[in-house]
Amino acid sequence: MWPMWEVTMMFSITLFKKEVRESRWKIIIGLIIFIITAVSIPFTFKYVKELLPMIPELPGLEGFDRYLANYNIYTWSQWNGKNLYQVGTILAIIVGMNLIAGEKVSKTLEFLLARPISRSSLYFTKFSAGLLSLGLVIFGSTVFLYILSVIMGYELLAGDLFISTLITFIGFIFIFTLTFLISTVLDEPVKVGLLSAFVLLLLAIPGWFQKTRQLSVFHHMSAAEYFLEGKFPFLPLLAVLLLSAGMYYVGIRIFEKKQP
Amino acid sequence: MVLAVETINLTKEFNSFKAVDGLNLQVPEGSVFGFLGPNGSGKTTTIRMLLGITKPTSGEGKVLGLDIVKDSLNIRAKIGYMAEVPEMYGYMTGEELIRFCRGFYPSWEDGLVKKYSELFNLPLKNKISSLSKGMKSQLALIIALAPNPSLLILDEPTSGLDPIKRVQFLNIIMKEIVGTGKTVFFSSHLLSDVERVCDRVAFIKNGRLVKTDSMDKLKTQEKIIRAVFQKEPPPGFFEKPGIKKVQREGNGYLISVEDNFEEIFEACKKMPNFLIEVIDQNLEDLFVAYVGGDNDV
Repeated sequence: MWPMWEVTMMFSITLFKKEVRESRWKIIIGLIIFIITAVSIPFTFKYVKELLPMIPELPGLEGFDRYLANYNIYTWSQWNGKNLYQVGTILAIIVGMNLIAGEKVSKTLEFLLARPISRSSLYFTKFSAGLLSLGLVIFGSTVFLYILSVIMGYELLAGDLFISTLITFIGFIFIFTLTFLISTVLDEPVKVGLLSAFVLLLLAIPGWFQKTRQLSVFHHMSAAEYFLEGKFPFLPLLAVLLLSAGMYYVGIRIFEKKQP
Repeated sequence: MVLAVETINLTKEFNSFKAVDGLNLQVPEGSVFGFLGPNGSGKTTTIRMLLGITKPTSGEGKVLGLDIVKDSLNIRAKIGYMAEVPEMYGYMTGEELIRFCRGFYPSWEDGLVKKYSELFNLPLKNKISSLSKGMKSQLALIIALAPNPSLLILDEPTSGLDPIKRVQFLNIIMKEIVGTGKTVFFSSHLLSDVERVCDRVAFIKNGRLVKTDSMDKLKTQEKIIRAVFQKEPPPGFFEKPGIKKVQREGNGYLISVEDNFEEIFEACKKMPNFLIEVIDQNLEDLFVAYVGGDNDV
Protein backbone atom coordinates (compact mmCIF):
# COMPACT_ATOMS: atom_id res chain seq x y z
CA MET A 1 0.00 0.00 0.00
CA TRP A 2 2.67 2.47 1.02
CA PRO A 3 5.08 2.27 -1.93
CA MET A 4 2.26 2.55 -4.47
CA TRP A 5 0.95 5.61 -2.69
CA GLU A 6 4.42 7.18 -2.81
CA VAL A 7 4.99 6.46 -6.48
CA THR A 8 1.66 7.93 -7.51
CA MET A 9 2.22 10.99 -5.33
CA MET A 10 3.65 13.00 -8.23
CA PHE A 11 1.03 15.68 -7.92
CA SER A 12 -0.45 16.91 -4.69
CA ILE A 13 -4.13 17.79 -4.87
CA THR A 14 -4.09 19.32 -1.40
CA LEU A 15 -1.16 21.58 -2.30
CA PHE A 16 -2.76 22.42 -5.65
CA LYS A 17 -5.94 23.57 -3.90
CA LYS A 18 -3.90 25.72 -1.52
CA GLU A 19 -2.01 27.32 -4.38
CA VAL A 20 -5.16 28.08 -6.34
CA ARG A 21 -6.70 29.51 -3.20
CA GLU A 22 -3.68 31.77 -2.67
CA SER A 23 -3.95 32.91 -6.31
CA ARG A 24 -7.69 33.52 -6.24
CA TRP A 25 -7.46 37.30 -5.94
CA LYS A 26 -4.92 37.43 -8.72
CA ILE A 27 -7.30 35.38 -10.86
CA ILE A 28 -10.32 37.54 -10.00
CA ILE A 29 -8.52 40.88 -10.47
CA GLY A 30 -6.84 39.61 -13.62
CA LEU A 31 -10.18 38.52 -15.04
CA ILE A 32 -11.77 41.88 -14.20
CA ILE A 33 -8.95 43.80 -15.91
CA PHE A 34 -9.02 41.58 -18.98
CA ILE A 35 -12.82 41.65 -19.21
CA ILE A 36 -12.79 45.44 -19.08
CA THR A 37 -10.16 45.39 -21.83
CA ALA A 38 -12.18 42.87 -23.83
CA VAL A 39 -15.36 44.94 -23.52
CA SER A 40 -13.59 47.91 -25.09
CA ILE A 41 -12.88 46.01 -28.32
CA PRO A 42 -16.40 45.50 -29.77
CA PHE A 43 -17.49 48.82 -28.32
CA THR A 44 -14.72 50.84 -29.95
CA PHE A 45 -14.47 49.10 -33.34
CA LYS A 46 -17.17 51.13 -35.15
CA TYR A 47 -16.06 54.45 -33.62
CA VAL A 48 -12.40 53.95 -34.41
CA LYS A 49 -13.29 52.91 -37.96
CA GLU A 50 -15.39 56.04 -38.42
CA LEU A 51 -12.94 58.35 -36.70
CA LEU A 52 -9.72 57.27 -38.37
CA PRO A 53 -10.35 58.83 -41.79
CA MET A 54 -11.09 62.14 -40.09
CA ILE A 55 -7.78 62.19 -38.30
CA PRO A 56 -4.89 63.65 -40.30
CA GLU A 57 -1.86 61.38 -40.80
CA LEU A 58 -0.20 61.09 -37.46
CA PRO A 59 3.25 59.62 -36.89
CA GLY A 60 2.86 56.08 -35.59
CA LEU A 61 -0.58 55.57 -37.10
CA GLU A 62 0.65 54.81 -40.62
CA GLY A 63 -0.92 51.62 -41.87
CA PHE A 64 -3.30 51.42 -38.93
CA ASP A 65 -6.25 51.35 -41.33
CA ARG A 66 -5.35 47.79 -42.34
CA TYR A 67 -6.22 46.70 -38.79
CA LEU A 68 -9.67 48.11 -39.34
CA ALA A 69 -10.31 46.07 -42.50
CA ASN A 70 -12.56 43.75 -40.56
CA TYR A 71 -13.50 42.97 -36.98
CA ASN A 72 -11.29 39.86 -36.83
CA ILE A 73 -8.11 41.76 -37.62
CA TYR A 74 -9.09 44.59 -35.31
CA THR A 75 -9.74 42.13 -32.47
CA TRP A 76 -6.39 40.46 -33.04
CA SER A 77 -4.56 43.83 -33.15
CA GLN A 78 -6.17 44.97 -29.90
CA TRP A 79 -6.22 41.64 -28.10
CA ASN A 80 -3.25 39.42 -28.99
CA GLY A 81 -1.25 42.21 -30.55
CA LYS A 82 -1.61 44.61 -27.64
CA ASN A 83 -3.64 44.19 -24.47
CA LEU A 84 -3.37 40.45 -23.90
CA TYR A 85 0.39 40.17 -24.17
CA GLN A 86 1.15 43.45 -22.44
CA VAL A 87 -1.13 43.04 -19.42
CA GLY A 88 -0.71 39.26 -19.52
CA THR A 89 3.05 39.64 -19.16
CA ILE A 90 2.55 41.60 -15.95
CA LEU A 91 0.04 39.01 -14.74
CA ALA A 92 2.43 36.11 -15.52
CA ILE A 93 5.11 37.85 -13.44
CA ILE A 94 2.70 38.51 -10.57
CA VAL A 95 1.45 34.92 -10.54
CA GLY A 96 4.96 33.41 -10.71
CA MET A 97 6.94 35.68 -8.40
CA ASN A 98 5.35 34.51 -5.16
CA LEU A 99 5.23 30.76 -5.63
CA ILE A 100 8.54 29.73 -4.07
CA ALA A 101 9.89 33.05 -2.78
CA GLY A 102 6.57 33.65 -1.00
CA GLU A 103 6.99 30.45 0.99
CA LYS A 104 10.53 31.46 1.87
CA VAL A 105 9.66 34.99 2.96
CA SER A 106 6.70 33.81 5.06
CA LYS A 107 8.95 31.09 6.53
CA THR A 108 6.48 28.35 5.61
CA LEU A 109 8.86 26.53 3.27
CA GLU A 110 10.14 24.29 6.06
CA PHE A 111 6.58 23.44 7.10
CA LEU A 112 5.84 22.43 3.52
CA LEU A 113 9.08 20.52 2.98
CA ALA A 114 8.44 18.54 6.17
CA ARG A 115 5.31 17.03 4.58
CA PRO A 116 5.64 13.72 2.73
CA ILE A 117 5.89 15.24 -0.71
CA SER A 118 8.97 15.16 -2.91
CA ARG A 119 10.49 18.45 -3.95
CA SER A 120 9.88 17.64 -7.62
CA SER A 121 6.17 17.02 -6.92
CA LEU A 122 6.00 20.18 -4.88
CA TYR A 123 7.64 22.16 -7.68
CA PHE A 124 5.45 20.62 -10.34
CA THR A 125 2.26 21.19 -8.34
CA LYS A 126 3.11 24.83 -7.75
CA PHE A 127 4.03 25.27 -11.41
CA SER A 128 0.75 23.66 -12.52
CA ALA A 129 -1.32 25.77 -10.16
CA GLY A 130 0.34 28.97 -11.40
CA LEU A 131 -0.13 28.00 -15.01
CA LEU A 132 -3.76 27.07 -14.41
CA SER A 133 -4.39 30.46 -12.76
CA LEU A 134 -2.83 32.18 -15.73
CA GLY A 135 -4.74 30.02 -18.20
CA LEU A 136 -8.04 30.68 -16.46
CA VAL A 137 -7.58 34.43 -16.83
CA ILE A 138 -6.26 34.35 -20.40
CA PHE A 139 -8.69 31.83 -21.88
CA GLY A 140 -11.59 32.89 -19.65
CA SER A 141 -11.37 36.48 -20.82
CA THR A 142 -10.90 35.36 -24.44
CA VAL A 143 -14.09 33.30 -24.21
CA PHE A 144 -15.80 36.37 -22.77
CA LEU A 145 -14.52 38.49 -25.66
CA TYR A 146 -15.84 35.99 -28.17
CA ILE A 147 -19.29 35.74 -26.56
CA LEU A 148 -19.58 39.52 -26.22
CA SER A 149 -18.58 40.01 -29.86
CA VAL A 150 -21.19 37.50 -31.02
CA ILE A 151 -23.84 39.13 -28.81
CA MET A 152 -22.99 42.52 -30.33
CA GLY A 153 -23.46 41.10 -33.79
CA TYR A 154 -19.86 40.75 -34.95
CA GLU A 155 -18.64 37.74 -36.86
CA LEU A 156 -15.54 36.62 -35.08
CA LEU A 157 -13.64 33.54 -36.25
CA ALA A 158 -13.47 31.48 -33.09
CA GLY A 159 -10.71 29.17 -34.38
CA ASP A 160 -8.39 32.04 -35.31
CA LEU A 161 -9.04 33.82 -32.03
CA PHE A 162 -8.26 30.77 -29.91
CA ILE A 163 -5.23 29.65 -31.93
CA SER A 164 -3.82 33.19 -31.63
CA THR A 165 -4.53 33.13 -27.91
CA LEU A 166 -2.85 29.74 -27.62
CA ILE A 167 0.26 31.17 -29.33
CA THR A 168 0.20 34.11 -26.92
CA PHE A 169 -0.28 31.73 -24.01
CA ILE A 170 2.81 29.74 -25.01
CA GLY A 171 4.68 33.03 -24.67
CA PHE A 172 3.18 33.41 -21.21
CA ILE A 173 4.43 29.94 -20.29
CA PHE A 174 7.94 31.22 -21.08
CA ILE A 175 7.47 34.38 -19.00
CA PHE A 176 5.87 32.48 -16.13
CA THR A 177 8.60 29.80 -16.11
CA LEU A 178 11.30 32.46 -16.11
CA THR A 179 9.66 34.21 -13.14
CA PHE A 180 9.15 30.86 -11.40
CA LEU A 181 12.85 30.08 -11.87
CA ILE A 182 13.86 33.44 -10.41
CA SER A 183 11.41 32.84 -7.56
CA THR A 184 13.37 29.67 -6.79
CA VAL A 185 16.66 31.55 -6.68
CA LEU A 186 15.71 34.77 -4.88
CA ASP A 187 13.88 34.87 -1.58
CA GLU A 188 11.98 38.16 -1.92
CA PRO A 189 8.92 38.16 -4.19
CA VAL A 190 9.31 41.87 -5.02
CA LYS A 191 12.92 41.35 -6.08
CA VAL A 192 11.79 38.35 -8.12
CA GLY A 193 9.21 40.48 -9.93
CA LEU A 194 11.65 43.30 -10.60
CA LEU A 195 14.42 41.02 -11.86
CA SER A 196 11.99 39.10 -14.03
CA ALA A 197 10.68 42.35 -15.53
CA PHE A 198 14.25 43.50 -16.16
CA VAL A 199 15.23 40.24 -17.90
CA LEU A 200 12.08 40.40 -20.01
CA LEU A 201 12.85 43.98 -20.94
CA LEU A 202 16.25 42.81 -22.22
CA LEU A 203 14.58 39.98 -24.11
CA ALA A 204 12.16 42.46 -25.68
CA ILE A 205 14.96 44.55 -27.21
CA PRO A 206 15.46 42.32 -30.29
CA GLY A 207 11.78 42.79 -31.08
CA TRP A 208 12.31 46.52 -31.61
CA PHE A 209 14.41 46.01 -34.72
CA GLN A 210 13.32 44.46 -37.99
CA LYS A 211 16.49 42.35 -38.35
CA THR A 212 16.36 40.79 -34.91
CA ARG A 213 12.60 40.60 -34.46
CA GLN A 214 12.57 36.82 -34.86
CA LEU A 215 14.67 36.53 -31.71
CA SER A 216 12.04 38.16 -29.54
CA VAL A 217 9.56 36.01 -27.68
CA PHE A 218 7.18 38.97 -27.60
CA HIS A 219 7.16 39.16 -31.39
CA HIS A 220 6.09 35.54 -31.65
CA MET A 221 3.57 35.64 -28.85
CA SER A 222 1.66 38.45 -30.55
CA ALA A 223 0.69 35.78 -33.14
CA ALA A 224 1.31 38.31 -35.95
CA GLU A 225 2.79 35.65 -38.23
CA TYR A 226 -0.24 33.45 -37.83
CA PHE A 227 -2.85 36.15 -38.12
CA LEU A 228 -1.39 38.35 -40.81
CA GLU A 229 0.55 35.81 -42.87
CA GLY A 230 -1.43 32.67 -42.11
CA LYS A 231 1.67 30.77 -40.95
CA PHE A 232 1.65 28.92 -37.68
CA PRO A 233 5.01 29.64 -36.00
CA PHE A 234 5.89 26.02 -35.20
CA LEU A 235 9.63 26.42 -34.89
CA PRO A 236 9.66 29.62 -32.82
CA LEU A 237 7.02 28.16 -30.49
CA LEU A 238 8.96 24.93 -30.20
CA ALA A 239 12.05 26.97 -29.31
CA VAL A 240 10.04 28.92 -26.72
CA LEU A 241 8.69 25.69 -25.22
CA LEU A 242 12.13 24.09 -25.16
CA LEU A 243 13.59 27.15 -23.45
CA SER A 244 10.74 27.01 -20.93
CA ALA A 245 11.41 23.31 -20.30
CA GLY A 246 15.10 24.11 -19.82
CA MET A 247 14.29 26.84 -17.29
CA TYR A 248 11.91 24.47 -15.49
CA TYR A 249 14.67 21.85 -15.31
CA VAL A 250 17.21 24.36 -13.98
CA GLY A 251 14.62 25.58 -11.47
CA ILE A 252 13.90 22.12 -10.16
CA ARG A 253 17.62 21.37 -9.80
CA ILE A 254 18.06 24.56 -7.77
CA PHE A 255 14.97 23.81 -5.71
CA GLU A 256 16.24 20.31 -4.89
CA LYS A 257 19.17 21.95 -3.07
CA LYS A 258 17.34 24.90 -1.57
CA GLN A 259 17.60 25.32 2.19
CA PRO A 260 14.30 26.11 3.97
CA MET B 1 18.37 -2.97 20.56
CA VAL B 2 16.08 -1.73 17.78
CA LEU B 3 16.99 1.79 16.76
CA ALA B 4 14.49 4.41 15.68
CA VAL B 5 17.27 6.75 14.58
CA GLU B 6 20.85 5.94 13.72
CA THR B 7 23.49 8.15 12.16
CA ILE B 8 27.00 7.18 11.15
CA ASN B 9 29.52 9.97 10.64
CA LEU B 10 26.72 12.25 9.53
CA THR B 11 28.21 15.51 8.27
CA LYS B 12 26.75 18.67 6.80
CA GLU B 13 28.90 21.44 5.44
CA PHE B 14 27.69 24.84 4.34
CA ASN B 15 30.47 26.14 2.12
CA SER B 16 33.43 25.23 4.31
CA PHE B 17 31.57 25.49 7.63
CA LYS B 18 30.76 22.16 9.25
CA ALA B 19 27.34 22.56 10.87
CA VAL B 20 27.28 18.86 11.73
CA ASP B 21 30.57 17.04 11.98
CA GLY B 22 30.75 13.25 11.92
CA LEU B 23 27.71 12.73 14.14
CA ASN B 24 27.11 9.20 15.44
CA LEU B 25 23.73 8.92 17.12
CA GLN B 26 21.72 5.96 18.29
CA VAL B 27 18.16 6.50 19.43
CA PRO B 28 16.51 3.32 20.73
CA GLU B 29 12.94 2.65 19.70
CA GLY B 30 10.43 3.61 22.38
CA SER B 31 12.78 6.05 24.11
CA VAL B 32 12.37 9.75 24.75
CA PHE B 33 15.64 11.09 23.50
CA GLY B 34 16.85 14.53 24.50
CA PHE B 35 19.07 16.18 21.94
CA LEU B 36 20.85 18.97 23.73
CA GLY B 37 23.15 21.69 22.61
CA PRO B 38 23.52 25.46 22.58
CA ASN B 39 22.15 27.57 19.74
CA GLY B 40 24.07 26.97 16.54
CA SER B 41 25.39 23.61 17.69
CA GLY B 42 23.81 21.75 14.77
CA LYS B 43 20.59 20.42 16.33
CA THR B 44 18.20 21.79 13.73
CA THR B 45 20.52 20.87 10.85
CA THR B 46 20.67 17.30 12.18
CA ILE B 47 16.88 17.15 12.42
CA ARG B 48 16.52 18.53 8.90
CA MET B 49 18.87 15.81 7.63
CA LEU B 50 16.87 13.14 9.45
CA LEU B 51 13.73 14.43 7.74
CA GLY B 52 15.38 14.62 4.33
CA ILE B 53 14.82 18.38 4.14
CA THR B 54 18.58 18.88 3.95
CA LYS B 55 20.91 16.38 2.29
CA PRO B 56 24.03 15.37 4.22
CA THR B 57 27.43 16.21 2.77
CA SER B 58 28.71 12.82 3.88
CA GLY B 59 27.90 10.00 6.23
CA GLU B 60 24.67 8.12 6.49
CA GLY B 61 21.58 7.88 8.58
CA LYS B 62 18.54 5.74 9.11
CA VAL B 63 15.19 6.66 10.55
CA LEU B 64 12.83 3.76 11.35
CA GLY B 65 15.18 1.61 9.32
CA LEU B 66 14.87 3.83 6.23
CA ASP B 67 17.72 5.65 4.54
CA ILE B 68 17.49 9.40 5.13
CA VAL B 69 18.53 10.22 1.56
CA LYS B 70 16.82 7.51 -0.50
CA ASP B 71 13.65 7.08 1.58
CA SER B 72 13.05 10.57 2.89
CA LEU B 73 9.52 10.69 1.48
CA ASN B 74 8.61 7.52 3.29
CA ILE B 75 10.27 8.77 6.47
CA ARG B 76 8.27 12.01 6.41
CA ALA B 77 5.06 10.02 5.95
CA LYS B 78 5.82 7.91 9.01
CA ILE B 79 7.04 10.52 11.47
CA GLY B 80 5.59 13.57 13.10
CA TYR B 81 7.67 16.73 13.14
CA MET B 82 7.28 19.98 14.95
CA ALA B 83 9.67 22.79 14.04
CA GLU B 84 11.33 25.15 16.51
CA VAL B 85 9.24 28.10 15.34
CA PRO B 86 6.19 26.54 13.74
CA GLU B 87 5.48 29.02 10.96
CA MET B 88 2.22 28.09 9.29
CA TYR B 89 -0.15 29.73 6.84
CA GLY B 90 -1.54 32.64 8.84
CA TYR B 91 -4.47 33.25 6.51
CA MET B 92 -5.86 29.76 7.13
CA THR B 93 -7.95 28.78 10.12
CA GLY B 94 -6.77 25.89 12.26
CA GLU B 95 -9.38 23.66 10.62
CA GLU B 96 -8.24 24.64 7.14
CA LEU B 97 -4.61 23.94 7.97
CA ILE B 98 -5.54 20.56 9.39
CA ARG B 99 -7.52 19.78 6.22
CA PHE B 100 -4.56 20.91 4.12
CA CYS B 101 -2.12 18.67 6.02
CA ARG B 102 -4.49 15.70 6.05
CA GLY B 103 -4.18 15.50 2.27
CA PHE B 104 -0.51 14.55 2.57
CA TYR B 105 -0.91 11.61 4.95
CA PRO B 106 -2.64 8.31 4.21
CA SER B 107 -2.51 7.38 7.90
CA TRP B 108 -4.12 10.59 9.17
CA GLU B 109 -6.48 10.07 12.10
CA ASP B 110 -9.22 12.65 12.58
CA GLY B 111 -9.95 11.13 15.99
CA LEU B 112 -6.51 12.20 17.22
CA VAL B 113 -7.07 15.74 15.95
CA LYS B 114 -10.38 15.90 17.82
CA LYS B 115 -8.88 14.42 20.97
CA TYR B 116 -5.89 16.79 21.19
CA SER B 117 -7.72 19.92 20.07
CA GLU B 118 -10.27 19.30 22.84
CA LEU B 119 -7.49 18.62 25.30
CA PHE B 120 -5.78 21.91 24.39
CA ASN B 121 -9.12 23.69 24.03
CA LEU B 122 -7.82 25.12 20.79
CA PRO B 123 -10.05 27.50 18.78
CA LEU B 124 -9.67 25.79 15.41
CA LYS B 125 -12.11 28.14 13.71
CA ASN B 126 -9.81 31.11 14.32
CA LYS B 127 -7.23 32.24 11.81
CA ILE B 128 -3.74 31.05 12.61
CA SER B 129 -2.44 34.62 12.48
CA SER B 130 -4.69 35.43 15.45
CA LEU B 131 -3.43 32.54 17.60
CA SER B 132 -0.87 33.06 20.35
CA LYS B 133 2.58 31.51 20.05
CA GLY B 134 1.56 28.80 22.49
CA MET B 135 -1.59 27.99 20.52
CA LYS B 136 0.44 27.77 17.32
CA SER B 137 2.79 25.31 19.03
CA GLN B 138 -0.19 23.26 20.14
CA LEU B 139 -1.63 23.26 16.63
CA ALA B 140 1.75 22.20 15.24
CA LEU B 141 1.87 19.37 17.79
CA ILE B 142 -1.63 18.22 16.79
CA ILE B 143 -0.55 18.16 13.14
CA ALA B 144 2.57 16.21 14.09
CA LEU B 145 0.52 13.69 16.08
CA ALA B 146 -2.45 13.26 13.72
CA PRO B 147 -0.72 10.83 11.30
CA ASN B 148 -0.21 8.59 14.36
CA PRO B 149 3.56 8.48 13.82
CA SER B 150 5.83 5.93 15.44
CA LEU B 151 8.52 8.59 15.79
CA LEU B 152 7.94 12.17 16.85
CA ILE B 153 10.67 14.73 16.23
CA LEU B 154 10.25 17.89 18.26
CA ASP B 155 12.63 20.78 17.71
CA GLU B 156 12.57 23.07 20.75
CA PRO B 157 8.85 22.37 21.21
CA THR B 158 8.31 24.15 24.53
CA SER B 159 10.34 27.28 23.95
CA GLY B 160 7.29 29.45 23.18
CA LEU B 161 4.98 28.12 25.86
CA ASP B 162 4.07 29.59 29.22
CA PRO B 163 4.79 27.38 32.28
CA ILE B 164 1.24 25.93 32.45
CA LYS B 165 1.13 25.07 28.75
CA ARG B 166 4.64 23.65 29.02
CA VAL B 167 3.58 21.28 31.78
CA GLN B 168 0.47 20.35 29.78
CA PHE B 169 2.61 19.77 26.70
CA LEU B 170 5.11 17.60 28.55
CA ASN B 171 2.32 15.64 30.20
CA ILE B 172 0.95 14.83 26.77
CA ILE B 173 4.35 13.62 25.71
CA MET B 174 4.62 11.49 28.82
CA LYS B 175 1.12 10.05 28.90
CA GLU B 176 -0.12 9.99 25.35
CA ILE B 177 3.00 9.42 23.33
CA VAL B 178 5.47 7.49 25.43
CA GLY B 179 2.66 5.37 26.82
CA THR B 180 1.89 4.08 23.34
CA GLY B 181 5.47 3.00 22.70
CA LYS B 182 6.32 5.81 20.31
CA THR B 183 9.82 7.22 20.11
CA VAL B 184 10.32 10.91 20.80
CA PHE B 185 13.36 12.82 19.57
CA PHE B 186 13.31 15.96 21.63
CA SER B 187 15.66 18.83 20.87
CA SER B 188 15.80 21.52 23.48
CA HIS B 189 17.90 23.79 25.58
CA LEU B 190 15.26 23.96 28.31
CA LEU B 191 17.00 21.43 30.48
CA SER B 192 14.29 21.12 33.10
CA ASP B 193 11.92 19.90 30.35
CA VAL B 194 14.42 17.37 29.11
CA GLU B 195 15.15 16.16 32.63
CA ARG B 196 11.42 15.71 33.17
CA VAL B 197 10.62 13.57 30.15
CA CYS B 198 13.74 12.11 28.57
CA ASP B 199 15.25 8.75 29.35
CA ARG B 200 18.32 9.25 27.14
CA VAL B 201 20.24 12.36 26.20
CA ALA B 202 22.94 13.43 23.81
CA PHE B 203 25.01 16.58 24.07
CA ILE B 204 26.11 18.20 20.82
CA LYS B 205 28.61 21.01 20.48
CA ASN B 206 29.91 22.58 17.27
CA GLY B 207 28.19 19.82 15.32
CA ARG B 208 29.96 17.03 17.18
CA LEU B 209 28.50 14.57 19.62
CA VAL B 210 30.11 15.21 23.00
CA LYS B 211 28.27 12.70 25.14
CA THR B 212 25.32 10.37 24.93
CA ASP B 213 23.94 8.22 27.72
CA SER B 214 20.83 7.25 29.61
CA MET B 215 19.47 9.73 32.11
CA ASP B 216 19.69 7.08 34.82
CA LYS B 217 23.35 6.54 34.18
CA LEU B 218 24.05 10.25 34.02
CA LYS B 219 22.30 10.78 37.34
CA THR B 220 23.97 7.87 39.11
CA GLN B 221 27.40 7.98 37.54
CA GLU B 222 28.04 11.61 36.66
CA LYS B 223 29.09 13.11 39.96
CA ILE B 224 31.85 15.19 41.47
CA ILE B 225 33.78 13.91 44.48
CA ARG B 226 35.28 16.61 46.67
CA ALA B 227 38.18 15.10 48.58
CA VAL B 228 40.76 16.46 50.97
CA PHE B 229 43.31 13.73 51.54
CA GLN B 230 45.66 13.53 54.52
CA LYS B 231 48.56 12.94 52.19
CA GLU B 232 49.06 13.17 48.46
CA PRO B 233 47.51 10.19 46.61
CA PRO B 234 50.00 7.83 44.97
CA PRO B 235 50.92 8.38 41.30
CA GLY B 236 48.31 6.92 38.97
CA PHE B 237 45.53 7.22 41.56
CA PHE B 238 43.55 9.56 39.35
CA GLU B 239 44.02 7.46 36.25
CA LYS B 240 41.16 5.11 37.00
CA PRO B 241 38.65 4.43 34.24
CA GLY B 242 35.64 6.75 34.65
CA ILE B 243 37.53 9.77 35.98
CA LYS B 244 36.85 12.59 33.53
CA LYS B 245 38.68 15.47 35.12
CA VAL B 246 40.61 16.28 38.29
CA GLN B 247 40.91 19.83 39.53
CA ARG B 248 42.86 21.12 42.50
CA GLU B 249 40.74 23.13 44.96
CA GLY B 250 42.73 24.58 47.80
CA ASN B 251 44.35 21.61 49.52
CA GLY B 252 41.76 19.22 48.12
CA TYR B 253 40.56 17.82 44.83
CA LEU B 254 37.43 18.00 42.72
CA ILE B 255 37.21 14.68 40.91
CA SER B 256 34.69 14.67 38.05
CA VAL B 257 33.41 11.15 37.48
CA GLU B 258 31.52 10.07 34.39
CA ASP B 259 31.44 6.31 34.97
CA ASN B 260 32.42 3.65 37.48
CA PHE B 261 31.35 5.92 40.31
CA GLU B 262 31.06 3.36 43.12
CA GLU B 263 34.55 1.97 42.59
CA ILE B 264 36.15 5.42 42.41
CA PHE B 265 34.26 6.59 45.50
CA GLU B 266 35.35 3.50 47.47
CA ALA B 267 38.96 4.07 46.42
CA CYS B 268 38.79 7.66 47.63
CA LYS B 269 37.24 6.60 50.92
CA LYS B 270 40.05 4.09 51.49
CA MET B 271 42.63 6.86 51.21
CA PRO B 272 43.21 8.60 54.59
CA ASN B 273 41.21 11.79 54.28
CA PHE B 274 39.84 14.81 56.10
CA LEU B 275 36.83 15.16 53.85
CA ILE B 276 35.03 13.10 51.23
CA GLU B 277 31.76 14.39 49.84
CA VAL B 278 29.72 13.75 46.73
CA ILE B 279 28.29 16.61 44.68
CA ASP B 280 25.36 15.44 42.58
CA GLN B 281 25.14 16.77 39.03
CA ASN B 282 21.88 17.87 37.53
CA LEU B 283 21.39 18.10 33.80
CA GLU B 284 22.25 21.79 33.77
CA ASP B 285 25.60 21.12 35.46
CA LEU B 286 26.30 18.38 32.96
CA PHE B 287 25.25 20.58 30.07
CA VAL B 288 27.63 23.31 31.18
CA ALA B 289 30.38 20.75 31.74
CA TYR B 290 29.99 19.10 28.35
CA VAL B 291 29.14 21.92 26.00
CA GLY B 292 31.03 24.63 27.82
CA GLY B 293 28.04 26.68 28.86
CA ASP B 294 26.04 29.02 26.74
CA ASN B 295 24.00 32.15 27.16
CA ASP B 296 20.73 30.44 26.42
CA VAL B 297 20.92 27.97 29.28
